[in-house]
Amino acid sequence: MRLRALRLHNVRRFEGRGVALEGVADGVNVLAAPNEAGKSTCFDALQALFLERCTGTGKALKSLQPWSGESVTVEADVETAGGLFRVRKQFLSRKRALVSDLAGGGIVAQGDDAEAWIAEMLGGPGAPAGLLWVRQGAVELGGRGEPAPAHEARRDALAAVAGEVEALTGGRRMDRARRRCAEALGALLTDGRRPKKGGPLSDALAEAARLAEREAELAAQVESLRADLARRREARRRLAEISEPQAAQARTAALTEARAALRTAQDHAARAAAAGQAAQLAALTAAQTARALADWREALAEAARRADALDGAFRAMGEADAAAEAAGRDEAAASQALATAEAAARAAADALAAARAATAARAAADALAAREETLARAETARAEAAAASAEAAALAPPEGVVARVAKADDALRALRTAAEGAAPRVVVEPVPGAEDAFTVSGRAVAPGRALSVATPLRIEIAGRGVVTVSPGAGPPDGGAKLAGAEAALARALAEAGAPDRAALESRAAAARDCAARADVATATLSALAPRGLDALRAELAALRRAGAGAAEADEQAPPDPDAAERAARAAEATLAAARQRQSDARGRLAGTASAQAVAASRLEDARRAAEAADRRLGPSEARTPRETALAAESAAAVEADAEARATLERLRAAAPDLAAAEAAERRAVSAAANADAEIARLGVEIARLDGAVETVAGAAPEAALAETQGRRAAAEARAAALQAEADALSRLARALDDARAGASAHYFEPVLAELRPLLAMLMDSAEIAFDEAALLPSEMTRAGRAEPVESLSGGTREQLAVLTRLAFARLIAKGGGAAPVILDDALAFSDDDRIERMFDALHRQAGDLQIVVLTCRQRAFERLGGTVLRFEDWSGE
Amino acid sequence: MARFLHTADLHLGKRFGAAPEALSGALTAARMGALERLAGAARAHGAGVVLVAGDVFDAETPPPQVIRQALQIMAEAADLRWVLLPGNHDPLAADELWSRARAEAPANVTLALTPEPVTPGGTLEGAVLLPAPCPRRRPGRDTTEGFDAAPTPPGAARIGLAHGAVADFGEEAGSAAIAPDRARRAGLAYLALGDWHGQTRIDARTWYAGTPEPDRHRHGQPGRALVVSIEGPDAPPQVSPVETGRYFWAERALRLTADEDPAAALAAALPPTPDRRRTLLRLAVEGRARLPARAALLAALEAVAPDFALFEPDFTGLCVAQDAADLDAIDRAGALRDAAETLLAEARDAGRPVRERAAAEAALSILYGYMADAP
Repeated sequence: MRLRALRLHNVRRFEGRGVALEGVADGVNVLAAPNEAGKSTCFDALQALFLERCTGTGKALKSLQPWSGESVTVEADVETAGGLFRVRKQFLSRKRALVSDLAGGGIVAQGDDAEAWIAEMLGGPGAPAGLLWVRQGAVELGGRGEPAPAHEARRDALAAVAGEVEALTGGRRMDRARRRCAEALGALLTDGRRPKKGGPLSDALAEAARLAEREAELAAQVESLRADLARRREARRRLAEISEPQAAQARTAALTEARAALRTAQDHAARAAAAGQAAQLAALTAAQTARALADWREALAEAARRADALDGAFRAMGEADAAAEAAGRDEAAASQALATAEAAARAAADALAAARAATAARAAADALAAREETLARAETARAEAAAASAEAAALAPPEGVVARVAKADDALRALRTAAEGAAPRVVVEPVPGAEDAFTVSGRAVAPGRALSVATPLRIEIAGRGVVTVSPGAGPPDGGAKLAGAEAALARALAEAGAPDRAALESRAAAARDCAARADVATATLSALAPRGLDALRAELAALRRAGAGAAEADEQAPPDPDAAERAARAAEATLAAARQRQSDARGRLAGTASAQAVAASRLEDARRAAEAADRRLGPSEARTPRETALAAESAAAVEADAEARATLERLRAAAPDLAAAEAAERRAVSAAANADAEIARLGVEIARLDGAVETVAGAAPEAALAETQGRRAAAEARAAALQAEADALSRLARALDDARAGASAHYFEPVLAELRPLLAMLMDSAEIAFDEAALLPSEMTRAGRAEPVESLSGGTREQLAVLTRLAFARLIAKGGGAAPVILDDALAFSDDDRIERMFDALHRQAGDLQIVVLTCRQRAFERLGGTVLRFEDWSGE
Repeated sequence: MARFLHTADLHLGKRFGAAPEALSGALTAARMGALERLAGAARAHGAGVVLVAGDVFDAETPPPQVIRQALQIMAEAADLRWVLLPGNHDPLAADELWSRARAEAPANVTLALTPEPVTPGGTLEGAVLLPAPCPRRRPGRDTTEGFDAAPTPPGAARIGLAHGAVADFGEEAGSAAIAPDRARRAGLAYLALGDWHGQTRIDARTWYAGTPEPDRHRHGQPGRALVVSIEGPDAPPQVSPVETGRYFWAERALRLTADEDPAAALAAALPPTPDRRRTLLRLAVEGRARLPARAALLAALEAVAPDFALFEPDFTGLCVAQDAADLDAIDRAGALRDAAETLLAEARDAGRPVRERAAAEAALSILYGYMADAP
């Protein structure tokens, strides 16, 4: 198949318009255009035309649609062995596919027939062909970016050139077998050959495990149920056994017998206890009689001792009486001496009191006198104060008059001074020794002193005459003011009743002195009689009343108080000594009286004791027979005691084992109680087991267990069958892989035959190994060193990718199915040297191929040569 | 004349977990249904008494509704007397079961829970029944020993009823062994036995009734019971099998030769179509088959399987016949052919472990399947 033209309408950037590549020739064709020119769009559109159904909705198709949407149209003219055809498809909207014969002009096929026609053209049976694509930057050597049919095209290329390859490798049949095997295996196992989660084998194993777990649970339930049933059977059996009438009777009989034996033993024990008590009583009686005898004998001895004691008491009594008498005498003497001393002391005390009273009376008289003086001074002060006050009142000028006089006087003086100032001055300056010759107005003149002439001044010069100096008329109003002032002063003085200012001021001063005197007298009075004169007088009256008695006492001859004090102290000392002596004598007298009382008491006690001892013993004639009787009684009691003890020993020796009888009875009671308790316990246990059994048995675990066992066995069988299937599939996969690997050398030989000369154009002695799955180079060996293709440089990888496609294309071409090779910016990484060699390789291969090179490297590809393609507008019709 | 129906091993309540769920329920239901079929058979043959020789129930503690429903069915067959004997699956030790049964048993059901003689009357008038109930799952002794000395009225026909293996004949290892000549020794007119699920005559007076509804492939018989007629104490009993089963557990072998048409051979080996839906068939495929024949057989089996209640083919006995022409169908040469021949050689290599050989053979068969329908 050869491509002759490609046309697009409304594809991606060609939104709403058409573009065409016309005149695609055999050999090398180049479309060199800048980036974004639409080269890859052409590439993708061509791919869609040949490989996508027009009804498709996949991503590849949607990516062709521009933003505005609408139908995408792709058209190609192709030349095949059958002629020249036009293939046209509209995608995504108004979908259709159409193949028309360009020579005849008729429609060859449309719809599904057209799709089939295209498929047949690309790779139908007997005519393996296809398109060989190398994507922009397709350094991956297949895989991503490569359309799925490309892989088959490569193999078909192999098959086409080497007829035996299909037979050798199994070809597509082998692929199908491997794919089906892998699918079947993949459903069962993971890549690591473990059961795949969610797969039937894993599910069967999981179910078997789950059922095994459930089975174990149920088995445990069944086991538990069986155990409960066994326990219940045993409990029921045991209950029946215990509840059996004979067994119950036997327990009752044993209990009755044990109780009878116990009663017998208890009776014997009671008798022994009574004998024991009797023995104790006899022992007690013996002891009591022995004690009574001893007591009697002791009483006799006691009576004798009491009689002796009575004699002693009599003697002591006499001695005490004598001592008391002597002490009485001593006490009388001491009492006499005391009376005397007391009288003396009283006299001395009286003297002392008299002396003290006299002293006090004198002090009171002194105080009275002082008070009287004070009163007198006080009364004087009061009189003084009254007099001074009266005088002050009399002297005191009326209120404010002094000030007014002073003011009028001051005004007058000022006027006068002013008048004097204005008056002429006269200075008399006698010559020394003539001073006395001059008098002024009758008075000696002061030499050098200026004399004012306010009034006519008469200067007498002794011996010489008189000089009178008179003032002038003065100022016109001066006389009136002065006269007014003088009148004012005269009025004020008249009001004051004083002749002049000095007299007035002297009277005012005298009034102030009187007032001051009155103040001093009042203060003195206050000091002397702070509470007033009446109080002072009352106080004095009281003192006078008190002093009346003292005045009387004072009349007696007053003794010397100190002497009286000394005499009194001496009398007290004498009295104290007398008292001590009397006290001592009385103490001694009391001591003897007490001794007398003690002796009397003892005598009485002794007498009473002696009488009591006698009374207790009774008449003396009966005392011996009484002793004999007591001795006989004691001997009898000792004998009775021995007999009682013997009886007790006998009973004790014959006693049955009470503890054993009690133990036997306890055991019988316990056995009966145990039986009752066990019956009750078994009843409870059986009820509990009934409940447990009913609950568990109701769920029928045995049936569930049997069913679960069956299901588990089935699941295990299913798992085993699936495992066998997985084993078989694994074995098959391995066999197919091994067989294919064995054939691979032959398989790739035709490709290598094509590839080697191309490789030689780029590098020396390089060998290529192919990946069997991708049918693409996987390893390159240069100079004996093998390198994985992935580790080669990007440039080398893309060159290898292009050369491999060219090799396959040649194979396809040899098979008659010439396929266009489309290189979409596939030499992006190649350097200038290599790209030249690649151009050579392209032309070498292009002999019987059609190669379309799409590139953005316009300058670099100018040297490629070949047919140049250009975008042309296309109407889309 | 005494006449009764002898049956055993009803295993009521038995579950079939290994079977598909729907079938499992049907099989369990079919066991309960056997009671009605037994009643029908008894009536049809004039037997007024049904003797069940043990294993009435499958478990010691069956679901309560199983007990209740079984007794209700027996009660509904009021014209019949049912005598139930504890077997090794439902021994006396299953006191929960038997106390419930005692409480709920209708008047026409006799529980033979003690070895005391029973006179059921009815069509067994004049005969005395000597029961030997199983005390435990494994009694460890011959439970029929007491028959020898058991007193019965003069002239009465003595009929033994027991459950267990005769000598080494038991269903389960360790079962108590019943003396094979017990009928003769104890002067029994008939010894009705249970335990063996296949109907079996031990001697003229000693029979295993077999199960009325089979539950496994072992015996290859349909479900059956026995109608027994006894003319007198010394007269030999008349014993007639009657079919009572609902499902048929069949085992068939399909023997192939390399040249045989497997589809035709299969058609000949299978039961007639109307019986198939009640048949649980285990088909053992044996012999040799070429790859195409094997593929054809698989297709035929797949086609016929839905006819059956359960269809379990087993290919472990089938070998692949070596034929180069068959491998040609995979490929005449090349890698596929190499792989096929490797697998064939491995399948035929007697020195290899069985599992490897089986895997290789299955792999070859799969490969053939892939290639047979490939272009």
